[in-house]
Amino acid sequence: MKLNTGQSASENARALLPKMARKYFDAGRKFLGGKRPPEELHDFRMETKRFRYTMELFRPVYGPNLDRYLKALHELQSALGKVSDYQVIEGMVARDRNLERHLQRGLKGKLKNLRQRWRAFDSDGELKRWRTYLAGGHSRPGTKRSKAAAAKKSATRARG
Amino acid sequence: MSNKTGIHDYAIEQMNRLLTALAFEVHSAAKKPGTEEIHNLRVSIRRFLQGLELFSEFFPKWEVKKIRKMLKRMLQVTSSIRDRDITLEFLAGRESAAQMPSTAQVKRLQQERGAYQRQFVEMVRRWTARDFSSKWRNGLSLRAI
Repeated sequence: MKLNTGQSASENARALLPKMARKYFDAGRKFLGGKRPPEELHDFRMETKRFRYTMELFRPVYGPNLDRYLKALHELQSALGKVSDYQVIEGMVARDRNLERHLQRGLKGKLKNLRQRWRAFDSDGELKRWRTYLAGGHSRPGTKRSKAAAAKKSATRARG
Repeated sequence: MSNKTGIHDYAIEQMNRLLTALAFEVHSAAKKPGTEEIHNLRVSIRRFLQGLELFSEFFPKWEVKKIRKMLKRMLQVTSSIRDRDITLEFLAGRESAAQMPSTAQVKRLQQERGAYQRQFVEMVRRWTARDFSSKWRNGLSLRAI
């Protein structure tokens, strides 16, 4: 992440953040698009934090409209956090078959929820919308309804 | 702040803000090291670390390195506390008698949490004795604006 010291904060943000968004979406597709093992999600969770906190650093540049994007990232981060919590618990407790089953079921549910959230986050045109907005254009993330429809469409596509 | 603010001035302003927030969370968590306070502290550490990384070229390398090292250590200790908080909360939430966690297991986790909490409080005591926030502010020249 190289800044251009001769430019303003605003110019730097508009050059840097669209590139970060591209990298972030690519990472998400890599980790959540396929069937990667949940242990590998740690890196993507860290990536989510880095992206979110970098965006927050430029909040004064974008103003309150940025909050919608930050919220979307925060929701994804929470879903990633829940998967991570199960992994932490697995490493922390003495095992018995009952608990093992309970944890496996819980982890599976959280992973399913995470993948659904990712499909909504990365639904049709979202990356473009993010990049356009972060580059200084006027765009906004899809509404809940349009995202849910896109996620449903994407899930149907994945099944079929 | 105008949209024309130079990136250097902007960086100083943001890091000043983040350091103030971090110092507040360090003291809150030391006073009451509960689950939420520890979580908030970890978030403010990560925000500050991200600022250090993004704006690193404006600060002395050795100062950044030293601060990063201290913060990483704080993250490690608080991670041990948080892991136990997550597990204890999970065990407490298991409802049926067949799923009840063993008392010994809960006790062990509580004792471990207590030990890490003492490490954390001692770490904050050392940081506070050295007035870490003033030192870092000087080291990073955050008073320039």
